[in-house]
Amino acid sequence: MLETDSYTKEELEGQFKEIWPRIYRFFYYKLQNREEAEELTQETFRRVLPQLEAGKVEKHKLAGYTAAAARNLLVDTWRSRSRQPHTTSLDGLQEKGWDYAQQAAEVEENLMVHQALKQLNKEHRMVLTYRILEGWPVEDVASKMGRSPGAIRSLQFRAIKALKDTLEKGGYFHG
Amino acid sequence: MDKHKHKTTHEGTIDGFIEDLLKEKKPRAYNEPTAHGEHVEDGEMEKLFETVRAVKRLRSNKVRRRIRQQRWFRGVAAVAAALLIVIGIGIFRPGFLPEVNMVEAMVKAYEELESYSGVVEIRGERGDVVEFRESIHINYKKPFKYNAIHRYDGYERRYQSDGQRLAIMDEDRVTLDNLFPEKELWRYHIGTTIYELEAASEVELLGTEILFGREAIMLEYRYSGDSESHFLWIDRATNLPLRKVLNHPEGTRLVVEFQELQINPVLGESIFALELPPEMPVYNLNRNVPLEQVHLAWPHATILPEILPEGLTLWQSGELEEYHFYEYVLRFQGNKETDFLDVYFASNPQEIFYYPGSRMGRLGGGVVEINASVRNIFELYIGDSRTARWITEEADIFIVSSRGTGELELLLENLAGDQIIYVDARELLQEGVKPAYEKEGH
Repeated sequence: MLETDSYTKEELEGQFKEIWPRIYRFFYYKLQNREEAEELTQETFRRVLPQLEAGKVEKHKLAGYTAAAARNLLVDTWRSRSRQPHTTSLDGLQEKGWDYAQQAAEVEENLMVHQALKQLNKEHRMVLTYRILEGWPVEDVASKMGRSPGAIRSLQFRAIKALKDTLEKGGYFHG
Repeated sequence: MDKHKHKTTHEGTIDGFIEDLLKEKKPRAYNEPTAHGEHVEDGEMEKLFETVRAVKRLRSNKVRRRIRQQRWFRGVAAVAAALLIVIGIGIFRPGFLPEVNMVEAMVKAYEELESYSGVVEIRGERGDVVEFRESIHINYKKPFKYNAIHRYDGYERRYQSDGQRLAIMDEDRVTLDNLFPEKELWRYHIGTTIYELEAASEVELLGTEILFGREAIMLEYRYSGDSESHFLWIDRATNLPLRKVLNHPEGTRLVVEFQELQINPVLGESIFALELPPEMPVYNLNRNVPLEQVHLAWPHATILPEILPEGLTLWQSGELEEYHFYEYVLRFQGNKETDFLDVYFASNPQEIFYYPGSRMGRLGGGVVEINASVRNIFELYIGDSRTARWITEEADIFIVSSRGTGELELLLENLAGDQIIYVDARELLQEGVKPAYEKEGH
């Protein structure tokens, strides 16, 4: 059973209820994937818990401490994938500024991606719209665009690559 | 390395990544080596993955709102997981997660549908007791052409619409509504069911089950501010509804089942022609009148075609019943059934009450009221609609529409040749403008 110097079990339950959705939302936004977001959210709390048990986290700092743990975990995950992380406004993820910083980052990023999509040719835009924005299976997209599924896989790869190049030129991956 | 083969492998990796993202599964790309035995842990491929994620983030605001709501629910479920960690039991593993694009798939399926036939059963239930039961044999063709035979308590009533007028045929009389052919559809039309779901603020996939011998996806949904949630079963093969259960706060529920549904049957126009039984008394509701007659009463309406939002054309012009608050209506329709803009006109403005939640302003010497969500207006526009109203000493113009309030504001401003200046509603109290009493269902 949990015993800490700072928290009763009820207090901790209340704190977790408050913080958990925000951490989950942060991971989901970054990863766009529920399984990964759930896994990393759980891992974040798993990392925080020993510190709580040791009474090392002051009550009023739990949210900020957990946010920092989430941020570090994301960076660790990306590093393990040999990736240059796209870490827009991560430093803004403090207790009160969490939602604001997150929303501002979302608007900025989405505008950039939206503009980049506009620069694609019609077919590239169409295949990404059908496949990712609307979520159609490859076979259905092939039927809609009058091509074979194999041709659609090639087309979507080229479209993603073209979009990546445009985003890269705009500094998206160094944000 | 064979360059072509390498490219093909990457195409497959990206496709698999997209597929996993759409299904909300942990991407296999990070765990599985490619066909060449290489992992995809290189910066270039990770940038392509991030590009895919970036596109997925652009889903419409509506979808994202749902996702956020669902994230919250998942979050709440996950809190339980956190508590399990806390008490040292272990890690909770949530089950399959809902498909967030299910609603869009339904809307798309309905948009691609031209007609349907089937039997709809409606039941009012309280606990295990069925309080009423009604069956409806319906043939429907877009837009708003239908014949429906309702049977309940040994009684039969037929609804017949040619897309312009609606005839309600009882044993001893016919009631003919000349302006609102769609008004009886809302209870059982499958299109209405889908648009109801689209308007929900929270949607969650509960799982699948067999219903009427078909594999059905079960959703739970709730409207913003409502305490009760509702349920919908969707045919996995067609993405169209099979059953919905609407729960009422008082403990009753309305069950609507779509049975023996045929999609896109060939339905000739003759099926919908209005052939009224001879020698049967006909009671007319509202009158379809030439546009010129509306212009005589409301000359300024002649400029409407020039200032209307894009994509709308005149569908109906009519004179309303004497008991109606307004005298005339001009009905404009877009390409979809749900895209509409109706303009009501009265030449004798009465005391001004405004809907709760309205923004109030001044325009062209009068008062303007804009509201993004008014429910069940005139008991005709079932669900939420956007409204804009402009009242001067000479006229009362009321717009009900599916379009955004921005378009309605612009329409009124163009009509008035003036700009709206928004004010605190309390400023208008001295001028006799009062908040309406809260009405049932509002």
